[in-house]
Amino acid sequence: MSRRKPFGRAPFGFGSLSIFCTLLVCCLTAFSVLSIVSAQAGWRLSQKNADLVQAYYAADGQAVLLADQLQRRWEGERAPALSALEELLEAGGAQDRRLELREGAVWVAFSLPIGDGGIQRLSVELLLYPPGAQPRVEPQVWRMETDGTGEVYDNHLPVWPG
Amino acid sequence: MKRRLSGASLMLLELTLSALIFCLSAAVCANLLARSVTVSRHSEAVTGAVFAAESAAEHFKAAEDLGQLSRALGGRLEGAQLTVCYDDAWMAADEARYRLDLLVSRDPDSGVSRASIRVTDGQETLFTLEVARTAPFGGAS
Repeated sequence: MSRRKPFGRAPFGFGSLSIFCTLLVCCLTAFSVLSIVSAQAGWRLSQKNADLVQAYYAADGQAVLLADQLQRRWEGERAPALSALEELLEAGGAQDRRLELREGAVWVAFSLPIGDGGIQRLSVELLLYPPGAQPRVEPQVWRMETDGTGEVYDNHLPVWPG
Repeated sequence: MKRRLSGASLMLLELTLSALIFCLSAAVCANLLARSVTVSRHSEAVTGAVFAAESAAEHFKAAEDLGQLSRALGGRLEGAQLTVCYDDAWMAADEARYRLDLLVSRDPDSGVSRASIRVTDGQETLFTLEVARTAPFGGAS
């Protein structure tokens, strides 16, 4: 003899729907919170990248200006004293300034901080040749480094010359 | 006299409450998801703008004059200003989803040429960059 379910009886137990709904809401909340956290992390990363690129090109522009001033001073005064060149670098905000005479040319090395963090810097080394020589100024090193450790960030990649 | 609720009524009440709570949380979560999509798209656009500006900056440093720079970037020249339009995938295109403006100038006191780069999405500025180079640049004003 078959027993029929009474009319009005729920197809599943009372409370199971609430549990299912709670789990569903928890899953939805977790996914949406993870999604917004991930999006904000991506935004912070792209902002940091944008700030670093701006800071790098600001330091690069300052180094370009200093190199141009060195060249003008070098050509204008016909090999001025090293102290005069160092003063010029100091006025331009250059750090770790080193100047040496090397076989008639002047080797100039300095660095410029990249951004306000004080971790990265643009390291520049130039050779100033005596008047009449070509080229007058030759960059030897122009690269980004970490401050203190000497770790180099922009390793040169082999590029197909065409 | 108290009236006892039947199983079906309790089930209906639970169903209604569950649906209400689910709708509320779904509305909040959909809002959060929509916001995260907007933020992701914006950061994607800023990242693309940074790459486009860097590419333009390095081309500016390497090119000999504005004509060569324009040909390399695939833009159009208006005086000392170069405009490059990009599509959604940041490929140079005629239809402008993004626009890069590069204005070249020359320092009167030095031999330094400068380029001001600005990338916009038609409404707001996504990224700006200032670049300098020493070698003379043809077409700089």
